[in-house]
Amino acid sequence: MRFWLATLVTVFSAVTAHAAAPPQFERDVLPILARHCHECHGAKKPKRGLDLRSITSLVEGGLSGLVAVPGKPEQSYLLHMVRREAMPPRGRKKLSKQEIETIQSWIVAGMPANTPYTIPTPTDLVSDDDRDHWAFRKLARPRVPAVKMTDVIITPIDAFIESRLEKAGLALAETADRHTLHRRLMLDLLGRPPTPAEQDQFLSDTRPDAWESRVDAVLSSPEFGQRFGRHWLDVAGYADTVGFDHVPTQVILTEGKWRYRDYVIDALNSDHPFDRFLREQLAGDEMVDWREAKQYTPEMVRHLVATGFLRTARDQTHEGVGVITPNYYEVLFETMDVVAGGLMGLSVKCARCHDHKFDAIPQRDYYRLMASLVTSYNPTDWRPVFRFDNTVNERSLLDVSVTTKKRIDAENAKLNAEIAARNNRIKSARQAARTRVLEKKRATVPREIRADVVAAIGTDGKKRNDVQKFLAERFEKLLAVSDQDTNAALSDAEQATISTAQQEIAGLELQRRSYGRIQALFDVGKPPTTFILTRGDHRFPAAPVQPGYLSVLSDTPRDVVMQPARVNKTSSGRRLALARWLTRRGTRAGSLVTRVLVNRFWQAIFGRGLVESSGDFGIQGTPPSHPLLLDWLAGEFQHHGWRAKPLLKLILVSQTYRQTSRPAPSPRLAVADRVDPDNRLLWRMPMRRLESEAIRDSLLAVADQLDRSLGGPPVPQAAHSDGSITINTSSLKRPHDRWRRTVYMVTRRGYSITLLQVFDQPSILTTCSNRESSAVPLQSLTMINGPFVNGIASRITSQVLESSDGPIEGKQWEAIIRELYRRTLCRDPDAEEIRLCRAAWIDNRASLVAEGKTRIEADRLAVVEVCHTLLNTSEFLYRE
Amino acid sequence: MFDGPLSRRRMLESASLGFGWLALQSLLADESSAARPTGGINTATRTGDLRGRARSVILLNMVGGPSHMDLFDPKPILQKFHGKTASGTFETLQSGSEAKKLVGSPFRFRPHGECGTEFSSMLPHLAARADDICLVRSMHSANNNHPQAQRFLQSGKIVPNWPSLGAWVSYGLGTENQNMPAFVVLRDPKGYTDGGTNHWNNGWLPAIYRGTEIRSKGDAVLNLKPSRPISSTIRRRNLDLLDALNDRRRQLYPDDTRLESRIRNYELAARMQSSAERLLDLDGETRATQDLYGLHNPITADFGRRCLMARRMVEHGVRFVEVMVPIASGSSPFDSHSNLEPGLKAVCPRVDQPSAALITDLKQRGLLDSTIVVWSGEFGRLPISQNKTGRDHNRHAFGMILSGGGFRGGHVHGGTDEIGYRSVVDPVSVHDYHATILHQLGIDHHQLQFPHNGRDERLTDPEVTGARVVGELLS
Repeated sequence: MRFWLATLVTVFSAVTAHAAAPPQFERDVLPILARHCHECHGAKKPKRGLDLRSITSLVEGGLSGLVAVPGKPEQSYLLHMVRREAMPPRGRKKLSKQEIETIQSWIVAGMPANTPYTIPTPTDLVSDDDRDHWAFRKLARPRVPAVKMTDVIITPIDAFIESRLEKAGLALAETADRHTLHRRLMLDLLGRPPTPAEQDQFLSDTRPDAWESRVDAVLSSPEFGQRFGRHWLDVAGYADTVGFDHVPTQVILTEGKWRYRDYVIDALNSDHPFDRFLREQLAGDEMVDWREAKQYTPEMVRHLVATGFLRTARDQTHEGVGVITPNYYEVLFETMDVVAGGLMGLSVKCARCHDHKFDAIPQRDYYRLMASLVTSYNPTDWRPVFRFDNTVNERSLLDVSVTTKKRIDAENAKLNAEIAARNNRIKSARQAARTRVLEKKRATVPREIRADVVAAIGTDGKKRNDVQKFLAERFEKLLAVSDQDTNAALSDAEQATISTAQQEIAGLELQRRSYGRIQALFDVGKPPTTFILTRGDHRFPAAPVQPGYLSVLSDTPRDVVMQPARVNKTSSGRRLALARWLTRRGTRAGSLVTRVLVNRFWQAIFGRGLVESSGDFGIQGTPPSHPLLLDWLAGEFQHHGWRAKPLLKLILVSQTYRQTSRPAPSPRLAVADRVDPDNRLLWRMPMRRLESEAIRDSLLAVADQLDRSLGGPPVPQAAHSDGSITINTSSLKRPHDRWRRTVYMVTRRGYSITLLQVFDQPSILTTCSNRESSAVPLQSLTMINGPFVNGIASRITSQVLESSDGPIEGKQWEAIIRELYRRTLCRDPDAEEIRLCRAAWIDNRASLVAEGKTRIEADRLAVVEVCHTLLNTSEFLYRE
Repeated sequence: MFDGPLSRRRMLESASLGFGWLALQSLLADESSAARPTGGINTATRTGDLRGRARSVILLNMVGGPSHMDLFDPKPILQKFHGKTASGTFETLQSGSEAKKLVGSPFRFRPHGECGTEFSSMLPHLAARADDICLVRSMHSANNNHPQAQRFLQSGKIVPNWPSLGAWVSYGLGTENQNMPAFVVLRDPKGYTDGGTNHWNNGWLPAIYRGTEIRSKGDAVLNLKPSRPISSTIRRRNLDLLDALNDRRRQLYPDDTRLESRIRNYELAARMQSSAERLLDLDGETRATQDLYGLHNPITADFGRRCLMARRMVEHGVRFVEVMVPIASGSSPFDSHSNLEPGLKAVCPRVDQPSAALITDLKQRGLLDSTIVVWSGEFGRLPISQNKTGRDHNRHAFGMILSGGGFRGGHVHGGTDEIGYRSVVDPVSVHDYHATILHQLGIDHHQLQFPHNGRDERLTDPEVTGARVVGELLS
């Protein structure tokens, strides 16, 4: 079923008598082809398997597929090639305008010929049933359902949710407390709890649209991109390191890889439309004409950086020994996993070796899709990650054009010369002063031996005779001139010369310009032929394939064939065609991609997607819990220009989002327990544990220590012999880099700092759609015993006790406990909680005094204990 | 039942996943599903209902590539043609072997035990256990560089971040001790070998199945002790306060077992501290036992200590213990690229007696039948000399010592060609080894699987690798 059957459809040319008769093959077209093409495409071994000597061989096409389709000039490769002057090749005479027009009108007229001919039609590799899988259908605009309890409906989302709940005898829950709600919003959107000031401000806002305006404000915080950017980096399988990254103490980075991370964060913060966002990441290099540019515009650099999305595979070719063919294909395969799994929510891995067992992904389709990547990850012209010796061209690009680089180099050379001249001035001024000191010192040596002493010291240590050795030993130290001696001897004029020169050098240094690198992907070399690889093994190529798309996402077998996008001459345009195909509205592919995206947003907010298997929308994935809502959201997303923020706002202002996470009142709970114990229908807000990054960021935030600055190279880490991994505090650019948000820590494949690792920081292989959320004792140990959390507790205590440096008296303790609660858990404690904390605090203080601490020390340490305990509560680790 | 999608739980329980019961255990450790019965370390506890003969594994990982023809695969023909140039080609990793000079072992081999299995003079103590040892002389690997071959030995893949055998076993069988992780790693306190912590990786299995490093010096587990001075009274009081606060909060979510399990984790962490410390405390062992492992001999003390800890762990229900080779000046001592003879003379005495002691001790305590002891490196070495005094890596042949757990004592399986370059008689692949170990633990390697990125992944991937249980190794 799913293999290429060369069944033939007969096409009879309809030659009718007509006043202005259309061109005819033998009479009008063949002579043109003979003149320009037959030398290569008519020989014994026609190039690329394309023989243009007869109508029957022409319609068969070549290795690149069909070259002409009757009545479809836009699908006729032959016409594209001659129009773009890509054929005949360089150095040959091009077709005249007239000749091209003849060919075009011949194709438009249905390619009439004297000889009857047949056009091979590919058999459909998949069935219409396959195409009818829910995820592959074109988006329909579902009608918003009617519900009984209309007063709970804030947005159409609520109607979709409520209608399913009502059918199950359930209902949306009541709204959560405002402080819970605000903490929820901050943790979900920014990955940290609100500060006491932010919390107070929101709680005191009594306007009716307080929530909506708060949602807007939080969405526009730059921290939003830092949080949601991390979600997308998971999809991309982003790591800062190169290769397998398997040695704890060895971190290999490539220059400028982090710029992709910053690109992602910027895109989310500026609410860049996602269709563009995806196109830039797949084909940014084909969207701007950087190759011809004298000077790169910021836009060009941004587009090139965006292709870092395709540079996340574990590329082993950063060192000489890894530059072998199997490694090239591993990079291609892994990149396929990122493109298919990350964007289409399809696991295509199986189709490397054979037709997919469950999903309708034939092996041929896999390699058709891969043909879009082989023009840049070109196995016949491989670019290693690093330039490990002079014979290779590395894969990265400079972030300036060749012209600009030359200019910068020339300017810097000029600067160097000017700086050197000033350095010489400094040197000669110092030299003059030094000579005077030396003369003065020499004068202290008795005149009789002075010349001998100078000669002895001037002679190389090993060549001195006995007398010289003696003299040198006696006088060398005496006659030595130190820098301090020279400094002291500088005249005012010399002093002035030096300081002027130094100021000038500093000024010149400011003019120095540099350039960095971009880890981009772009086409290299001649596009190679892509073959189906038997068992996925590059040593056993089978049939060649042309670039194309997935059959199951194409309406007809014809639509599978790719028409590369028309871009500059040096790029194949395949990735841009793929990118457009994936983001086109009203198509199966565009519908799937939109569903996958929307589902990821839903997952980021609720902790679980409407499609739970957010990386698998295939047959083996979980069907959506709310298929109509998913399609409605997808339509809404497209309607808002593929922008994330309007969609997120729609979700965040809904009652569905605002409902409490507490269990329903008992009669309803009994129903829920029976029909929906997993809360798939959302009869309450799912409570969820914070991800590793949010835990670290929250800890820093509650201690008012979180550095929220944007961008830049990753913060380094250090692996220690006890097995722990921490931030490498000895090699920080700025001391407070240790408090940067976690997204800026160096991202490694398998080695994260210990706090993150115990809280399920994933190993990065390729794309990652779901985070684990385990509960293991190592988490408890790290939270309760680790130095990091302890430091946080101590810092909060210092802030809380800032105003009082004496012993804690009378009623003061209650205010302190309240303040600890407000900072760590964003709420006021109840009376019982105050009692519990106070009791522990008093007892601990007594124990500390008994241990010999002073009253003031004991007061403070007892507060640290309470604070540390609050950070260890489940409440701190969960978003309610 | 509602007409929504299958819940994760029901999906995992369904027969389509084959090993539903086992997969369910992963669910139990996974917080993303709210309703679960228990919490704790490798939450599902299994005792008594194991189908296999063995219940635990101790892997003595001899990282570096021990030279099989110098330890347990005698090749008299190498002695005979010592110094002669070999014909044919040899796959090498480094340079230095171009002359292709055959080199005979500098060590004498003789038969041991009733079975008469030949061992070299470098492993006298293991040789003395010959009748308890099933020696596989026909192992082969897929890569001849350390990190890749080690990953292959551990996970059946040469790429990193796939779950290792230990992780799969803990996923499949859980732990028998609620106070200890199911998969424990005892490494040289001086550092890591090639491959770092990837040896005991959980890959994409839940983090709970990752090997936990228990240290033989200093604190047993990372962050086991507070990073600041704090009296046990205050610690206890803090835990009590935490318990009280968490409990109040939990009452708001009576149906959410995650909160309960998190509370329990703190208790567990405290219990783990004392149990890990108890396991570390070898003073309670008799002097005879301490001497058996060579604890009072500086040469054997380090590895002996870790072997003895391994026995105590297995005794206390730990499922999989991996003991790493002692490291020598930051590298693997079995990696004999040069100075083969002095190199082996230095490392073998460090590991031989403790390894043999482990078998003896387990047997005396009646634990050998339920414990599989594996002594192996990731590949073997070449029959030709490298840098005149050493041997380069050889992925085509290596030897593996198996003991206990139903493996056939006094048995030699398979063999290499006459110079020891290739496994030619009854070759055993790493996938076969995995399948056989799982089999002895009562797990069908076809059925132990976990869904990952749209595919049900298995340790052995039998359709691709052809992995099979090697029945000939079993008694």
